[in-house]
Parts: sequence; C-alpha cells; structure tokens
Amino acid sequence: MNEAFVLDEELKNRLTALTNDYSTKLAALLPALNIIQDKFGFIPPEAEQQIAELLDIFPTQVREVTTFYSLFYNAPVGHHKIYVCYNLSCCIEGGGKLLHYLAKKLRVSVNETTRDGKFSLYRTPCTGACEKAPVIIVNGAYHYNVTPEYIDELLTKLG
Amino acid sequence: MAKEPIRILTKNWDIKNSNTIEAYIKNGGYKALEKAIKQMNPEQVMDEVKKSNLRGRGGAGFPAGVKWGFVPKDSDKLKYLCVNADEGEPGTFKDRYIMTLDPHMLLEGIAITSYAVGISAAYIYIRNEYIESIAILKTAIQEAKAKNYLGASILGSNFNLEIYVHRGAGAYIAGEETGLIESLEGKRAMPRIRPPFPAAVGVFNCPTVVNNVETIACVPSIIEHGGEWFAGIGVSKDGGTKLYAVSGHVNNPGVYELPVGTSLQKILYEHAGGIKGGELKAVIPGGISASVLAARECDIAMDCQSVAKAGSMLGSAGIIVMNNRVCMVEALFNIAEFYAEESCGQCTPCRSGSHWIKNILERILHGKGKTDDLEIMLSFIPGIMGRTICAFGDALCGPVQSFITKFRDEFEYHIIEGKCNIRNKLDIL
Repeated sequence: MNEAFVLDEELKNRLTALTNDYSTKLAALLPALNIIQDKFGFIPPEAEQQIAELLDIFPTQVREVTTFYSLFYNAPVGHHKIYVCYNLSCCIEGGGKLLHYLAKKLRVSVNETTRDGKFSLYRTPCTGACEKAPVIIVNGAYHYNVTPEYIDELLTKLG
Repeated sequence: MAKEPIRILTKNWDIKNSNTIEAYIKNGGYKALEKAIKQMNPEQVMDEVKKSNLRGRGGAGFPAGVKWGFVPKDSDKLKYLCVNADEGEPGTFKDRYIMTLDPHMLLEGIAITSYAVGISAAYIYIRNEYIESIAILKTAIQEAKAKNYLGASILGSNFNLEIYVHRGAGAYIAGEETGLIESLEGKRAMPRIRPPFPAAVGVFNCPTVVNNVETIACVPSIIEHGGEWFAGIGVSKDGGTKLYAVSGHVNNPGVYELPVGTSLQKILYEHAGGIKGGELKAVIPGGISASVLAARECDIAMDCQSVAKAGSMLGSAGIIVMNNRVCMVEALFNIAEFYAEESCGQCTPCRSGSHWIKNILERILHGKGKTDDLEIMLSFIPGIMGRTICAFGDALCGPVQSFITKFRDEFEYHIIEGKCNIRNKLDIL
C-alpha cells in the first residue's frame, strides 16, 4: 500500500456500531478486524492504530490479537487466497498431495504469494467438511472432493 | 429400541427450504418455546433437561442440565449464553449441518435455554470459515425476531433475548470454553484457570453457560416430548440421539443421526457403507483428540461411558476411519503437527511438548529415527498430562500414546529400516 491507510467515516460508523452488541468495546475487536480484512484483504498497521483509538484500547491489544489468530494477515496477500484443508480426513484422501500439486503449479511454498500477487497458498487445519474430503477453500468458498484436474480448471478460471 | 429411525436433529433436513422460518413453523417449530414460556416456569424447563440425560455434544460430555444448574440464581449480574459453533476438532462437521439446514432449531433451543437460565443475551461463536452458516443464522435471527420468537417481550411474556453471531478468526483453542470466552471478549483465545468456572464467572465477568450447537439443538425436542422420552432413546445417563459424523475410508461418509450408544460396527457398515479401499485398520471415534482404536477394538457402543471404557472418548463423535493402506506414523505426524501449530503457547508442557513430539515423528518419517525415540515420546506424556490449564495437552497425549502402543511395530519398522512398508504415502512432509 502506497497511500496511508485511513478508516473512512462509513467504516468508522460500522465499527463503532459493533460495540452495541457487547458490554465492552474490546469485544468488538474481532468483528472489527474481520470487517477490515474482508474489505482490504489484510489488516494494515495503520488500521490497527485507528481501530485501537476507536475502541479505546492500546494498539498492542490489537497486535496481540492479529498475531494470534491464523486467519488475520499483517501484510498484503494474494488476490486469491487458497486454503488446502490439512486434517487427517483430508490428508488420507489426498489433501497433502493437493497441497504439493498447488505449490508446484503456482511455484510457491506454503504461506507464500505468487510473484504477480494473484495467489496465496495456505494449508489450514480442519475446515469442518471432512465428509467431502479433500477440501479446499478459495476466497471463502468451499470446494469439495477436489482432484488435481479440478485444480487445473479452477486456476484457469481464476486466471 | 424403536424400529423406525428416530429423527430429532435431522427431522427437517430433507424438507425444501428447511432453513426458512416458514418451513420450520410448518413442521411444528417454535411450539416448544411457546410451551416453555406459557406453560412452564424456568425451573421446570431445567428439570426436564436434567431428566433427559442430555450430555454436552461438544466433546466433554458433561450433563447439560447440571451445567445450567451451576449458574447462581441469586446473582444480580447479567447472565450470558455462549453457543460454541467453533467446530474445530478435526473430523467433526455436524454443527455445520444443523446451522445450514435447520438454524431455527438452534435458535429455538437458545431461546428455551435462555428462558430456563434467565439469560437475555446469547452469542453464537462461529468459526471464521463458516460464511454460509453465518449468513443463514443472521437471516434466521431476523425472521425469528419479526415473529417475536426473539427480541423484546417474547410471545407476550416479560422474557427478552438478543442473539448475536460472533465470527472467529482461526484458532482451534477458541473452541475450548474458556478460550472461547477470552476470544469473545476480544483477546487471544487463551484458556482460563478454573475455578472459577464460567457458570460463576464467564464472559464479561458474568455467569455464563457455554454449550455446543448440537447440545442446544436437542432442547426443543426435550421440551416438546419430555425429558423422560429423550432419556429413553439413548443409554443410561446418556440420552437422546447423536449426530455421528463419519469421514475417511468409508463408502458413504456423512452425518448419521442414531440413538446414543449405537454400535460402531453398525454405524460403519450399515450406515456409512462399509470400508473403502482396503481392510479396516483403525478408527478414531471422537475427533483427533480421541485415542485411536485398532480394528479389533471397534466392537463398541458409541456412548460416553462405553467409549471411555474402551480407552478412548466419544468426544465430538467425529469418526475418522482408516484402512490398511494408511501409515500410522504419518497419521500420528499429521495429528502432532496440528497440535504443535494450534497450541496457544500459554503452558510450557503443551507448547514445548507438542513441538518435541512433532519433531521426533518428523525425523522418524525422514528415516532418521533413533532406537529410543518411541520411549522418549512416551516419556513426555506424564509431563504434559494434567499439567496444563486446559485439556488441550491431554488431548495431544491420547493419540500419541495410543498410536505408538497399538501400532508399535510400524513405528519400529520406520526407525530400524528408515522407510515405510506401506506404499500409499500421504505426501505430508
């Protein structure tokens, strides 16, 4: 990001409104961060600062949280986020092989983003869809019983 | 046992648009809430649930009515309900079905539970990835509010209830009940030391009930048909039906609703279609935290006590089936890696122990195992078991101990020969 990140009024209001659902402002932190990340793809450091001000908490409290939860990102990630489910049920049905296949095709390692910024590849603990293993999640959408052929098609579609 | 399949939690799943309030009401939905509010006082509701022998469906199996009873009646603080929809235990996928196919059954259960305990605010803590469930639940809450099943002065009474959907951010430990509370409060999901238990001091320092989605979804049927009816379906001290979620090497993986105490054999062969791709080798009966059962040990009833007697636990009843083409060293490595990554890091035995175990298994898989590696791993267990704030450490020990002792020859082969005698590699290194 080149320009300094600023929470606009609309977003500020949305985040402030969240605090009505809880008896402390701090409790609105995870929902607030989820909103920011859904919108920007990651949590910019400036956003951490501004959320802290909005919720009357220390910036360190925000950083504590963003660094603890595996689905929050502190730096920009790829345009398409691909998660390969890596639990036992998925792995005995080929989840591990899918991960290697994707890594090879995208020429990245796990937790890396392709040079063109298009794809980020992650492995994730159980996604709660073990009956349709192996599972991948792409930009929030579940894909079931995934095969290498399916991945070929999917990557072409996503361009 | 009745010959007709008993469907409590899944009764609406085949109905068109089952997740709408119209479909739910048409099939008798919200009648139990009306009955509770108009014909019963909160104590009577709680007594019915105690009588039902409903046990927590999240993993611990604690009697739900008893748990509710721990909430102090004389406290002038607000009381809260946290519904655990984090569903992070690998091998578990039942709550997703309830939330996407019958969200109103969950909401009705929340409303009845809240009425019984004197709660006016409930949070559904749901895992980040369940975007579809989140949207469905939010719509369902609006629908229920519009018909006055939720909100202020519910059905003309003085009972008020707001339900909020709270989305997590990717942490297995947020499914532990005090980790969930910490997370809901906007902090790292690090479990709390007990006592005090959440029933006394929970979210926002107030008395809090934490129950799993499936547990709560059982409540409307208990109120509609009575606690004794529900208790009569399961086994002694463990009532009702259970959603058994079967995955891995079976022909028909999926969720099966069967009376608590149904035999594992029956679940695997009559419902899940039998073993796929080879012979049965091992079963994990209750999510990966449960000790593994070798094929010869699979003749058991699936209720809390029977599975415990067999040396494992019913847990979430996420049943993972492995055929004889799965290498047990690889399987345990996959599990150990999960624990090493998901340990919250608060307690040294768990934080370090999980990594030590993972690292040793990794070197064994790389053909660099040492002759005393198995004894070293087993020697960690007394240092972890019972020495941490939450049950995560114990959960890690069960698989390690059971895999190594029950499949010792496979581990030894790896160490001595430096390779695997099973051809079907999982490719997970």
